[in-house]
Amino acid sequence: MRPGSRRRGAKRGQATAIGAVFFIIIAILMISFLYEVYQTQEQMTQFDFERASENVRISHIGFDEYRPVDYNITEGTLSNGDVESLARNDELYLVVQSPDVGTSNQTKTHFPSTGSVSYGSWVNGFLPTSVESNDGDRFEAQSALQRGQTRYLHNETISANELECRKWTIEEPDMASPASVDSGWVNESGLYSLADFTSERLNVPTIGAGPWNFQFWARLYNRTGEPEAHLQVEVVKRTSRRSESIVASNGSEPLQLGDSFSDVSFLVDFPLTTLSETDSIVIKVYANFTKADPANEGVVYLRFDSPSARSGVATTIAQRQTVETKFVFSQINAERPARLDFTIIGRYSVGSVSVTVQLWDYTLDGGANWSTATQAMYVSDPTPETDEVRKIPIAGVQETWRYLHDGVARVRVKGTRQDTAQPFLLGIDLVKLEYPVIATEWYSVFLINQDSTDVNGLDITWAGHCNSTMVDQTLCIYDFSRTQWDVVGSSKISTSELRVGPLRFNTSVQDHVNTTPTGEGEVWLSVNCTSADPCCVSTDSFLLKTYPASENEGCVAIELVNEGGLTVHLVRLWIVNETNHLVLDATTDPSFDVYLAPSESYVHVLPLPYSWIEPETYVFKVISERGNLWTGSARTG
Amino acid sequence: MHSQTYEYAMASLARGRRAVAPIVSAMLMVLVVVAAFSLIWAYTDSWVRSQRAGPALAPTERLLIEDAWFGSSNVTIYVSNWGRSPVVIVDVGVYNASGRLTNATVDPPRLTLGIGQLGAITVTFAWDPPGPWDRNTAYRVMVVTERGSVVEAWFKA
Repeated sequence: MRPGSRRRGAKRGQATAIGAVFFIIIAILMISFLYEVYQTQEQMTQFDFERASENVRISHIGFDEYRPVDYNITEGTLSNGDVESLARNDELYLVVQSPDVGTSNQTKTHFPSTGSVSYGSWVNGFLPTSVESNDGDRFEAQSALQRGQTRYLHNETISANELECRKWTIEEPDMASPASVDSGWVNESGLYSLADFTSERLNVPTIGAGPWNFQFWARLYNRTGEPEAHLQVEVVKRTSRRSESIVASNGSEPLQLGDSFSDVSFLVDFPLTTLSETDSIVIKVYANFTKADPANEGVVYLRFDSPSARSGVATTIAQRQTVETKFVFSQINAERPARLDFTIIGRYSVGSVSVTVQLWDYTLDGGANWSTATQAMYVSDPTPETDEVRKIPIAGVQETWRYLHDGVARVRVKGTRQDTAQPFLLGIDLVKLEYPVIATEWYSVFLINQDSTDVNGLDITWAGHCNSTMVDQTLCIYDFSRTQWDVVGSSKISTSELRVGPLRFNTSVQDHVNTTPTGEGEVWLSVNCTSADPCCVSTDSFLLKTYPASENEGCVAIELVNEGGLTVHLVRLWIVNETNHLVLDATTDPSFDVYLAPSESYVHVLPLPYSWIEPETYVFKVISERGNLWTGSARTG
Repeated sequence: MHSQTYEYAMASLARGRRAVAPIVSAMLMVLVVVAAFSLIWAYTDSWVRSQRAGPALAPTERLLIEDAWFGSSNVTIYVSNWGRSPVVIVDVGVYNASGRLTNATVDPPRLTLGIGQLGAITVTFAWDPPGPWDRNTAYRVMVVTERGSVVEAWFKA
């Protein structure tokens, strides 16, 4: 080889080497870039895969709805389920089994501890031994003569003036008779209630037919206008529960009043009226203005004195033999009994005695009294000394509470036979009270993020079933101020699916919402069941809904379920309706920042300044950290 | 002896002149190669940098139009950035069945969203004549980023 060609080859070799170095450098740069692009693509593919794997469902949206967070079984045992099973209608049940499986007697029996003969005289027998079984050992009382009498209606009380016109005043009477005088002015025509004259309880079975004579002092005083008015009178029968029915009226012949006070009297044809013992008669007096004084320039005076209504308003009670006994059950430790069964076996020494068996009602308007609503009235067998069984069943917690108070119940047996002077004997062989005992009882704790002052009412909904057809269920709410359970409602549940409620509870709500040390509201709701047989009660859902004190204060509960295979971080919530939209995230108040593990279900409760009163559709959108969006909607009202 | 030494020296000098040329040419060759590859390097590096800043990141953009709130003559669009790089929204279009609604001003005209950030853009229309949206009509909202990513969603007015 020649030296020149060697030198040229060396130069090409040097250039090639330098070029190779540069090429390698540039290649490295390109490869690193391409690798970077590849890496980015891989990351984004992974990101997109994860994003596509996210799946969250808004399974439920409830406005001011809450689910139980805890429960406690106080009677019976848990067969299945937990607090989660109470959260929704999903056929996952909390099952409570009554304790005495295998026994059939779930009823308690009480006998009277004391008794008395309130009319007539005691003859034989001692309580409770003489009435605790149907064995011929009797508590006996003898009737006494009750003389006939005539009773009159009296204007015992004069109720408050109910005239619904402007500037109604009370003036001093200008007459000697002791009565209140009402006056006022009326500038619109119509019927105005003046006064109610309420009689005492008449305690007579009937009022005979005949005219009743009413006397009033009244006048229509006219300054500038020319009003016209009439007096109208209604005679009303009022029961112990304050239901009223018109017995008679002078409405067909209204009375024209003059300009000066005058003695107004008129007759009302009173028909034969049957009364129960606790009924009263009310005389209602109205002013019917057919022409008022619209200019309001003058004053129309009505002066009204008490009615003198004795004439003709009388009833005569015939002479009769009466025996009356009372029995008292005490120390009945039955909390919220769903049923009371009173049983009496008695006989009379004469036939055809008019018998009334009554219970003491603790809740009657105007004071407790012997109830006519549940009484047993019958005429005894014509054959003397015939044992007869009478039962008074009281069903439903609301009803049983009328007759059982502080563990005490009372029953009265009254026998009457008219037109005889001969006394007779009443023999009571058995007096007993039975009630079913509580088979299952448990309570749930609801935490609400509202304090008691923000809650105006509660709606309670229970859904479930039981394995017996005759189970009485009572729903109660705990009164934190009085530390006792109050009954919300009761029902009889069956073997089939049943939904109770929503029951609205809005009585002293603040006493039933306890504010916890953490500032949350707490509500306790209990379900107790009584049954003649052992029973098993399955609760599917137990829900509480609050009604805000102000329509601008509400809560929404959003139930979110992660149905994907990855943990989801929900970072934003949109709430949209026709007129507003609101976005919540970790930085807002209230905040929204939720992590959901795979298959996790979570109820997020948010206090929101929204009105849930008006029916309106709200759209809820939740956004995940990976950029997925899921929607749900719900309608208020 | 002396003449041999002189000849030897002259021959050595002649050989030395012949040795300079290859060195220079080699240096020139290296210089040319370095310059050429420097230019290629500079271009390549610039291209890579531009790709890294722009188109190469386009696949990392993920946008979500979360909500659109319709006013009397405007619509506010709420967009969030769920991708792996910040984005700049440079165009927002609102379309009905007839096409893109015109006479619109976008505020802000360029919206930069960091990663995970939510932003709002209001598109105001100079209605001629002024009029409301068609109630319960769905409008297509399209968002375009600086890197050319396009995201769209439908919203009812």
